[in-house]
Amino acid sequence: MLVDSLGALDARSRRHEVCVIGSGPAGATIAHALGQAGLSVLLLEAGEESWNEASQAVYEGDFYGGPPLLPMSVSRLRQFGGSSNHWGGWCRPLDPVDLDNKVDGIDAAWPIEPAELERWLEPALRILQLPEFPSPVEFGDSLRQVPFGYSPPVNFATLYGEDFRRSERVDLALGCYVTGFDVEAGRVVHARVRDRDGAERLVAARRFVLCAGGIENSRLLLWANRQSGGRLVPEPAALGRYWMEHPHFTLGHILLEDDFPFEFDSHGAVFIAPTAATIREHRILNCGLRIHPAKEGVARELVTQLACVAPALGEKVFRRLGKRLVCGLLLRASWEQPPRAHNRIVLSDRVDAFGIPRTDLHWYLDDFDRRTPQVAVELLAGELAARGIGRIRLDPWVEGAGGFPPDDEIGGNHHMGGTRMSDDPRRGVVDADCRVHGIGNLYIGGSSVFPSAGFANPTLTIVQLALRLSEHLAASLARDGEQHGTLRIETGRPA
Amino acid sequence: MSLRRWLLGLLVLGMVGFVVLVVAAGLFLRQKNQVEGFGVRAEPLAMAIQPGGELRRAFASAASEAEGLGREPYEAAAAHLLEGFLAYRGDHRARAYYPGEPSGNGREVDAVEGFSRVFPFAAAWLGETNDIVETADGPVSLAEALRDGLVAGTDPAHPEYWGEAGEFDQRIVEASDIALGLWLARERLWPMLDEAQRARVLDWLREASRQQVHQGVWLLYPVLIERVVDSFGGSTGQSTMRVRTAYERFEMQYRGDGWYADVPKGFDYYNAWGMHYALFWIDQIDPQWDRERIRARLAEFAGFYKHLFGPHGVPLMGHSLCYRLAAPAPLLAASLVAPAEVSPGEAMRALDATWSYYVPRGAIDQGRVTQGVCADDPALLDGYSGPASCFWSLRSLIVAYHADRQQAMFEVQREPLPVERGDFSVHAQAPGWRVEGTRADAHVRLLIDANQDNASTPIRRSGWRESLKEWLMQAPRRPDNADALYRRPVYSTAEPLSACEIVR
Repeated sequence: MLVDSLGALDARSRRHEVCVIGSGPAGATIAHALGQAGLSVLLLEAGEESWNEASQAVYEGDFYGGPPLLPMSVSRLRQFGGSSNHWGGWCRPLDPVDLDNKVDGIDAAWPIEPAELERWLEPALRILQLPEFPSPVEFGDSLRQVPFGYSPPVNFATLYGEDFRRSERVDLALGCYVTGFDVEAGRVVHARVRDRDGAERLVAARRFVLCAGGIENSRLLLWANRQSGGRLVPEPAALGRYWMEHPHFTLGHILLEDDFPFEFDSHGAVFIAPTAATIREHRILNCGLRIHPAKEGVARELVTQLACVAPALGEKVFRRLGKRLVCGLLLRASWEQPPRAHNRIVLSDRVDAFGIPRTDLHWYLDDFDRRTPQVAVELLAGELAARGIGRIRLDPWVEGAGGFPPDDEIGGNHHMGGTRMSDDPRRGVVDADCRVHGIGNLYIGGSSVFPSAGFANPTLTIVQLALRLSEHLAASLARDGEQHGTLRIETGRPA
Repeated sequence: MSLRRWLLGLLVLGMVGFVVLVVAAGLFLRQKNQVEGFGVRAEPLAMAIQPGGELRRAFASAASEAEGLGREPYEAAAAHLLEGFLAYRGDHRARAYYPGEPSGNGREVDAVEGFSRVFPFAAAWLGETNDIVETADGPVSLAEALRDGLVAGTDPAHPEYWGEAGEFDQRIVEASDIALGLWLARERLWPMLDEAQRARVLDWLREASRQQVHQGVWLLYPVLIERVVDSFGGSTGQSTMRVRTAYERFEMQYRGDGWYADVPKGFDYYNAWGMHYALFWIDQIDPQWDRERIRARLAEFAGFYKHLFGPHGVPLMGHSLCYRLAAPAPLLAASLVAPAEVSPGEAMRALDATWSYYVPRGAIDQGRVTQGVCADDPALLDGYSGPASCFWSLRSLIVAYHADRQQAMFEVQREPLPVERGDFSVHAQAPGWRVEGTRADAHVRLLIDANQDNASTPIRRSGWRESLKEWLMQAPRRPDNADALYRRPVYSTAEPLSACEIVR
């Protein structure tokens, strides 16, 4: 049910088994799944039912590095449902190779097997109202055409809001800003919560799951760890570090003949990616090349500047060859960034309205970030040329002339890493169960646990991991002797 | 009119039109590409108090003396260069307009370098007691001159204000020298500034330290600047975190054996006079920063690197060769922090050998460090180097002066270099460098593993093509000698990149 304040909960002396912090895709999925399994859950959301300026202002932070990402107060939302209130719905599962080390010296391996994610793919697709993904189609020896799925997009506040309101097991409290944790003997005993009335309250639970987002998870843990004298994250070496985005840039323009073998999807795009063998052979990371029609003005520019210098003549020539030019296609890419310890979230000297340090985000692209799309696009150009079906004009930066263009999309608002998963506490914050190393009952959900990023948009993986974590929490509480039912995944909306 | 005359007329008209077109295109290119102040060159000046000829003789006469040069030749070099600094500074405060080939950054940036690159050297020379520099116009207080420059350069209201550094701005590099000089002469200069002046100095440095920089050694400049600002109580948690990130990004370039890759070029002497030099100062300024790692790597690097030194100079290769006098800098630094690896006597012998080889061959003249390996040589000058860029050659002497404050370096008993002790062949895995020395002729060879199948490309001299391009573009156009500088299988002091004759 929706509770007006934590004070009201105190009055009911309700004891929750799990306290979930954050109501975005990860938190809402976990709260819902655990509620369905018969566990009592307190879902804390710092924002309100809908967007408001004062709440959103908490997300303001400073960015260091470049090229500049969208401001942190714009790229995410502090309200019920989190950033699912403004996401695009693009989904794709990680490739099995994404969970492995691809390049020597780049620590990208996940401590779980691909099958552990795969197991949760089907229920996650149902939640996101997606059909099954068809298998990739080979395009030459080194590339494959990969499908994307498009969620409506599901808004988790809409998806689960009514369920939560009606639920007797899930209590949803809005306007509750978690600002710290009390730790005793290696366990969190309380979350410190600033209620919307300004009072600080202590919330007890058997398990705590932090799902505040790909930036806030790090920020809150950094702050709470400082407050606890280092007892909350006893091994903080990786805390806030290995933060990642998917670089998003236009690589150039592409000219295809009309007998190209691609099928444009429902969003008018074609996605090409290197195969796992290619990734290993060329020592690159994963990369999604996206071909889609450019806007009219860009097409005209292309017609002027590329082979369509004289469109009529160009088409005439190609007609004689029995072919027709398809002009005006844009080649874009989003790719996997190497997880670097120096790309990180740190606490600012500035504080928010509640006195909590704001976020300083340090994010840099390096030479490797150029290498991955360079190699991928060279392979594509080679394949197109070998088949005689098209060619590519690359933007100068791709070939090394100048830096990354600062006026491009730059990132996908995919905030990943910071509390990465690793068996080694020196290289990760959580273990393979998403439990904070050295703390018995604090877990983390969301993309902040990704050790590496593939090129797939992260929401589907977030939901897969959330379901996996839900199962683990239910099982671990069962081992503790707590009553609960079987974990069932229901969406209320058929796929 | 006959057809022939018609055709002739048409031909002449066409030729005239072509010439007009070429001239117009040339003028357009000049206008579009012109580097600020490119055509304006300062006149070289002869030093009246410490003439260049005497200086060369001071180093040449002592070249073979195993007991070392002592202090006097270096003092003569300092007197010559500081006299030059004050002369080229003229009536200005924060800029010095040196003669020579301009950089692509423009005359005013070059003039800022004219101050900033002398500043740490002058600051190191000041020490506790030095001050007066003799010039043709009489004695000048160097401390006051440095103070005046510092105050003017950091004052937005002053016409010689250096300006706020932007991202990837050359001023970030210069700010690191200003910061280092300020730290070296902190006991002399800081008390000469009032509160407002101090605040402006720190503001200017802070601004430079927060800018985005290129990869490579550039990543260390904000760290050095910010640590100096911190030493004056002017840093914040945010600024420290920011440069800590820069430092971690720099760490990615570490390749082992004390070697950092100089992105994007590879391995060269920048590891010595760029990377380890900056790291040494960061450690000196803030011993808490990363002492153990910085010192261990410097020691490891210097233990191998010292083999490159001999009485015939060093087998130079790579870029920024006009910093050649700075080559012994990491050995002097190591003698201070890792004397078991490089003794002060060995480091000073390397300094003597290097300076007594290159200075008599024209490395210092007309009150400045010349733009080449020996004398001026545009073929070996990088496009980013201007008239005062090569003052980074003085980095070895800066470290020597700094070390001299802790022990009398110039008087220390010199110890023979590896090549003066016997034949050797040593290898460093990380850069893929083998260094061989032969005691009999005292020559040193650098063999680069990756280049062993390459031909030995000669240096391409600067010629009419470059002159024409420079005239057209009004910007520096120097020959591309990357193959000769990086891809030869062997670099040897017996066959140096540039033939070096002693200047009489």
